Amino acid sequence: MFEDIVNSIKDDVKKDIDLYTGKDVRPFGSYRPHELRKLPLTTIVKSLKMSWDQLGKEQEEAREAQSMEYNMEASFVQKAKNFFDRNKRKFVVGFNLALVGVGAGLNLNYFVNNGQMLPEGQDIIAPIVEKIQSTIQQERIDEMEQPVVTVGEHETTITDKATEHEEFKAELQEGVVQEEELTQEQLEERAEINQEQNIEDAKVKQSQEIQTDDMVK
Amino acid sequence: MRDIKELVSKILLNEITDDDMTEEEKKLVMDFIEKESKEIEKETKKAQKEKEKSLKRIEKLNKANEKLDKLIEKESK
Repeated sequence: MFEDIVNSIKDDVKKDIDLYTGKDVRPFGSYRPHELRKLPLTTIVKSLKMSWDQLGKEQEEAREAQSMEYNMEASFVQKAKNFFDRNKRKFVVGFNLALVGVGAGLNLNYFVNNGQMLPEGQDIIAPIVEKIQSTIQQERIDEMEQPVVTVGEHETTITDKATEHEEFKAELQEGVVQEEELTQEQLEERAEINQEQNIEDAKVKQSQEIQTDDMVK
Repeated sequence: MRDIKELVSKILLNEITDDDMTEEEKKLVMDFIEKESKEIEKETKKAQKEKEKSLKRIEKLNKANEKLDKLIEKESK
C-alpha cells in the first residue's frame, strides 16, 4: 500500500518535472490554464509550434475534402445533365409541349419529386433541375421555330401534330371517339381541349355580354 | 535586444532557455504567444469547419448520386 503511494507520488513528480522543464511538450490547446502558468516560455513556444503543425494538417485535409467535393459535384452535374439530355425529347410531343405529364414525363417528374422530397439532397438537385428546366424551356421555344421534331425514333412535324390535334378535337366534339377507347395521353389531351374550350366559351360569353350592354346603352 | 524572429528561432533550435532572455525579451515572447495562440486556434476551427462542411456535402452528393443511378437504371429498362 505504502509502496503504491510512494510510486504514485514519484510518477506525479516526474510528470511535473517533464512538464516544467520542457521535456513534455504537447500541443498548446492540451495544456490546462494552471499548467500553462507554470510552463517556461520556451516550452510554450515549442508547444505553439506543434499546434501550428497540426493546423497545417487540418488545412491540408480541408483542401483535400473540398477538392473531392468539387470533383464529385462536377461529375454529378454532368451525369444529371446527360440524363436529361437523353430524356428531354420524351417531353417534346407535338402540340403538347408541357413538361409535366404522365408516362413519358415520368422520369423528369420522378426526379423533380425526388428533389423536393429529399431535404438532404434538395439543395443539390433543385438548382440543377431548375437550370435544366430553363434549358428545356428555351429548347422548346427553339423547337417551335423549327419544323422537324424528333419523338423517340419517329420524326414528325409540328404541323402534322397540329393537324392530328385538330382532328382529335373534331372527333371528340362529334362524339366519334368513345371515352373507353381513349388512352391516358388522349384523356389528358381531351382535358386540355375542354379547358381551352371553356376559356373560349367564357371569352365568347363575355364578348356577348359587352355587346348586349352596348346595345342596351 | 533581439527581435521576436531571432528569439523564436533560437527557442525552437534549443539554443536558449528562459534564463537567457532579458525581461523585455520575455515580454516580447509572451506577446507573440498570446497573439499566435489566438490566431492558430481561430484558423484551426475554421479549417475544421470547412472540412466538416465539405464532408457533409460529399455525403449529400453520394445520396443524390445513388438516386440518379437508380433513375438511370430505370431508364435503361
